[in-house]
Amino acid sequence: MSGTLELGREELEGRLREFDRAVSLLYPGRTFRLVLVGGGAMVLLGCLARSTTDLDALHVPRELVGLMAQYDINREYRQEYGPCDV
Amino acid sequence: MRRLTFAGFLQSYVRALSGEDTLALPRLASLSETEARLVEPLLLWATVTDRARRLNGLLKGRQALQQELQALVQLQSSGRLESELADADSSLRSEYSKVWHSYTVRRDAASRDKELRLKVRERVLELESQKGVTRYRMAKDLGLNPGNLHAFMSLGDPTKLSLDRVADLVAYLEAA
Repeated sequence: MSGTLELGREELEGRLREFDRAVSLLYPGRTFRLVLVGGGAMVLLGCLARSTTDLDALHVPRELVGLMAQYDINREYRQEYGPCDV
Repeated sequence: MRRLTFAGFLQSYVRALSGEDTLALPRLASLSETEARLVEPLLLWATVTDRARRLNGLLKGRQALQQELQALVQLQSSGRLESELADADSSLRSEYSKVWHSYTVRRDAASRDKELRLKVRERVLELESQKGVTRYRMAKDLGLNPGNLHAFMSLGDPTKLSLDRVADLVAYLEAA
């Protein structure tokens, strides 16, 4: 048993859609802002064609941190970007 | 659906990160010199698929990576690799734990979605009592199997409704 998976833009989009649905179901009526950065963001924009599983978020709503981990969305900690939590 | 194994995930990951749809070890070793993201998945893949010895030979002159590969092989042979990768205080570089986390998210996606359905069920039950819509009506309007709706609502069986259907149910009750 060694199931495999697709990794690329479609996978990133699918994961983001699933995350978005989970947020909308768990936080009805609420709106959150998530700023994606890095290779995953570039792939989603169509600016980069490489494969990646990385979805890195710059501004992270504190209450979504646990849920983001469940969808493999990373918090971007780089100092030059400033604080992560908004 | 087949359960995703760590080796299966790594194979897909390494192949994708190579950018060349290849699993040829010499080529992957060569690519890892310029494609930094490939390094940790490649070393892990070689470790869990019994290719470590061959990869070690291909990493000649890259002593730091050879030492890391050796550490991974030791963990694997003592059955501690997965627990070490999952350990928040792991002695391995954080990039290795990141690969493991990416794997577990995909491996556990089905159980994560089941938990989500059960959490949302609480909201569905709340909306049901607020709106006073009968289950017969819900099933009829949404085209749901009444038995499956009952199993989900009354018995808390998350396997009886897909997440899409649960989302439809919430939207329907909110609008009722």
